[in-house]
Amino acid sequence: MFGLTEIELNALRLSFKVTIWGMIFTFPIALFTAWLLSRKEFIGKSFLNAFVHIPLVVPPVVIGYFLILLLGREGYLGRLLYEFFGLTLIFTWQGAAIAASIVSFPLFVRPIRQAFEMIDPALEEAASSLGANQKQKFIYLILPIIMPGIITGAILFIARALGEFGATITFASNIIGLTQTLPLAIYQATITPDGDKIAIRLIIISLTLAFSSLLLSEYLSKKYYSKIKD
Amino acid sequence: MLLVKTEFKYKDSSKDFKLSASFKTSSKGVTAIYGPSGSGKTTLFRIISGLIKGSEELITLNNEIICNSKDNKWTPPHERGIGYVFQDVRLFPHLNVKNNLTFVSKLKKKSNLETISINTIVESLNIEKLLYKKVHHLSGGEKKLVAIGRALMMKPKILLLDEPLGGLDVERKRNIIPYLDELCTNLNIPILYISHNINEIKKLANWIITMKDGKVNSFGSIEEVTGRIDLSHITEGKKTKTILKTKIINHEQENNLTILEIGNQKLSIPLINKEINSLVKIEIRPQDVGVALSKPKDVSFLNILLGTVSVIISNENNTYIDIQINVGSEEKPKFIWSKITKFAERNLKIKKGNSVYILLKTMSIKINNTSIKKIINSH
Repeated sequence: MFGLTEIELNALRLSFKVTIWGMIFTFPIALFTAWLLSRKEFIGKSFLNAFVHIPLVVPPVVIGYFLILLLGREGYLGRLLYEFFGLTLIFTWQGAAIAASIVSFPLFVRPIRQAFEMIDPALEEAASSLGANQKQKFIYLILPIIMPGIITGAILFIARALGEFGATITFASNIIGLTQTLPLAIYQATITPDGDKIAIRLIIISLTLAFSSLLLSEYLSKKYYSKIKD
Repeated sequence: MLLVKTEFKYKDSSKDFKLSASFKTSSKGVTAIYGPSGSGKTTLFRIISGLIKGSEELITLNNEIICNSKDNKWTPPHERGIGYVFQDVRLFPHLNVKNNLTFVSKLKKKSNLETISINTIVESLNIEKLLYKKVHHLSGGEKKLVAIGRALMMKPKILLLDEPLGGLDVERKRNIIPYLDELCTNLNIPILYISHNINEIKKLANWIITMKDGKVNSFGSIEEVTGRIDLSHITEGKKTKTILKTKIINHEQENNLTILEIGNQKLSIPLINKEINSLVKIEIRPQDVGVALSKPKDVSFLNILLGTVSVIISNENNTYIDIQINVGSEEKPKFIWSKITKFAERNLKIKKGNSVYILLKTMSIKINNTSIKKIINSH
């Protein structure tokens, strides 16, 4: 496909695998965080808000380093995971998924949070008076209204996670076929003699993916909001 | 029947407002809640529907206890079965009209609770044309109708209407009033109705609760209480039109007349096509009501009723004065307003408590709401 070698195709496939699994596990956490930040008042709210946004401003390699400290074989949590479940995250594709998810997390939360803030609490009162319990209010009122936020967040998450480099290489390392995602393959190509052609091919794929996902998110949210408004 | 006893204070100290209310409504008919803005009308509705919690409260609906702070019993709003039509409508923006109406059916599918069929609602509110419209495309009046329909879909035990006609222009009001009126008569549930338009209330309500500064001031039948309400509200717009509910007691086919009962006296109006014993609302403009000190003989007026002057409102710079005359009894007053010249008042020496005869032409009595269809079709 597109004259890609097996190694390059593997990198592409792995990137998607890491991103999609990351998204599936991150979604409920992002939803909950967005809800917490938009709807609840509690002590330490601004701290949580800053914490959620840290991955946007900190070098990803720092995130990767903290992940080693936390989830590495000798890490505080990693040791327990290995002892009780025989689970290793460092140097695995699951580790790459965690690294990519954390770095992309704020991009997932932000649009959902904004969508939450758009809901008039008065509508929830109306739904209650009509007989909707908490769960029904969420399913029939809140979820449909925040859907564009979720879609936008998911797409931004995907775009960012597909391009994640620093945290991934630090925590999951650059193992061909195991943890070498698209950006890592590009990096590999650029430091290999005569790797320019490979690098350019991969860069074009990477740019296309990023660009089209941004366009798609813009298109979908516009379409959805116009559906609500007209 | 709804019984409410409640005390409520905003926790937020910036709002120095305390509500304390205690009243009972009948199991049928419309009870209006009347009072100036900020008197706590909406707060009262929010307590009844459970959207806010009073510090002390006892609310029962049809003898079922909804909340009782003594037993720590408090039913959440979604389990109360109270239909609430908000002042700011609150239709769901992501749904079209039809889906707004069927929102309730979706919720109740699982719990097997009864709902009214959508066709009944659509038909009785005449909103068929709106079904597939987005709520953003509806006019203010249409939104109100849909909101009322949506609340009715849940087959509520009681309906709370917060200024259903507020913010609408006169034309729209005239369009909606017949529906509301019909609805109020046909529904077998009590309606609580917030308004600060006394004319609306007189048209639609049977009972009235007046509120001021978070307190219930008076409660009673419309006829009884409107006589006691601070009349400056009414006379401000010079609208002292009389509206009374009366019973048909006879049809005189040979004279083309229908005879109504008002207090213990009789009133003749042009023949109408309605069953004996049914109730009709009549409207009388004050300028059509004449006053005499003795019973006139040999006059064309068919309606000569004896009454007692209960209120006289005169304005210095005005040629006319308004007199309220009770043609019912002391216990069950029936008030009729008359507008006469100051000159006549002075000549007749009319004082509060005097007995007077009022003269009414048959044609000056208007039947309110006999032909809803006619009103609708004319728009």
